[in-house]
Amino acid sequence: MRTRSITLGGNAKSVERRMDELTLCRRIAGGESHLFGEIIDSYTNLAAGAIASQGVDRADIEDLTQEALINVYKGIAGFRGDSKLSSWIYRIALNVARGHLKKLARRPGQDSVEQAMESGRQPVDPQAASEASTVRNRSLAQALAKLPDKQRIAVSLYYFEELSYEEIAEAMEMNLNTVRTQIRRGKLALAELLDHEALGG
Amino acid sequence: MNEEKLQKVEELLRAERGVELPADFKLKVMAQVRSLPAPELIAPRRSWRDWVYTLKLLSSGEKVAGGLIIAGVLALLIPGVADVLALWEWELADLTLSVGIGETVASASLLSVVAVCAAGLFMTGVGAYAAKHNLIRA
Repeated sequence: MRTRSITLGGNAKSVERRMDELTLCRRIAGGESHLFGEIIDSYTNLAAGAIASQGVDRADIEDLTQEALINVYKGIAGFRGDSKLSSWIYRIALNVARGHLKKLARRPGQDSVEQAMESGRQPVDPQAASEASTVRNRSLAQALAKLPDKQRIAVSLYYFEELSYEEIAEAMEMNLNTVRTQIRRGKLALAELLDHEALGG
Repeated sequence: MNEEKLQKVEELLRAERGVELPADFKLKVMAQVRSLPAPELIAPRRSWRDWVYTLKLLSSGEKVAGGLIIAGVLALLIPGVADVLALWEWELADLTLSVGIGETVASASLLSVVAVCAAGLFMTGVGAYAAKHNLIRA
C-alpha cells in the first residue's frame, strides 16, 4: 500500500493547510470518525517508516503502526495545531516503537538492538540490528543501524518510504537544508561503512 | 569520498522497498476506530505536562492560594509543621490557614477547598465513566 500526503509550498499555503488539518482533527474529535480514513491515507507511510527506522522486527510493524494510528485517533481532541499534524503523528509513532522496544528489552533473553535503542538509539550490535531490520540487504541493515538516529530516520523515510524532503522536514521539525544534510551525511557514512563487496564492486 | 561509491550506496538504497502493509490495513484500523467513542469523550491521560500547562493557566493569586492550601494540608498531616509556621506568624485554626505578610493577612479555608476538589474529582469521574461506556454522544 503506497499512500502519499499532499505537500503545499509557501507560508500562506502552510497556514491554510494547518487550518485544514485542525478543522479535520476537530471534526474527527467531534465524532465524524469516518474522516479518520483521510489521516490513514495520508500518514500511514510516515508512521510505518518511523517505526521501521527504529529497528523494530518486520513482523511487528503492522501491529505497531495500527497501535500508533489508534493512539492518534484517541488523542486527536488534544491536537491544538501547535505543530504540524505530520510531526505530531511522527512523534506518536516513534513513541510507540520505542515503548515496544523497551518492553522487549525488559524481557529476559532480549538484548542488543532494543537496549541500544532505549539508551542511545544506536544499536551497538549490528548483527542483531540486521536481524530485526526491515531492510532485506543484511550489510545495508547493519550499516544503517550504526548511523545516528536522525540520519537513519531521514534516510529510511526518503529512500524506503519515498517521502519528499518537505514531508520529512515537516515531520522531523527540521528545515529543508538540514534534512538534505542529514541524508547526505547518512549516505557518506554508509559508503564508509559498507565494504566493497556489499556495494557490488 | 569516491563519487562512484556514493552512487552505489544510492543505488543500494533505492533498491530497497518500504514497509509493505496488507491491503486491508485501513479497513482494520477503521473497524477499531468505529468501536471507540468520539475522541472528545475519551478522557485524556494525565501527565506531568498537563500539570505544567494547568499551572501556566493559573494567575499569580491562584498560585499563592494553591501554595497556602498545600502548606495548610502539610501542617495538618505532618506533626510539628504548625509550630514552624507559627514562627512566621502563620496560623492554622478551625481548618483555616492564616498567613501574615506584613500588614496583610491572607487566609484559605481548607474545608471549602477540599469540598471543591472532591466535587471536581466526582464530576471528572462521572465524565470518564460516561465516556468509557459510551453513554454520551457528541
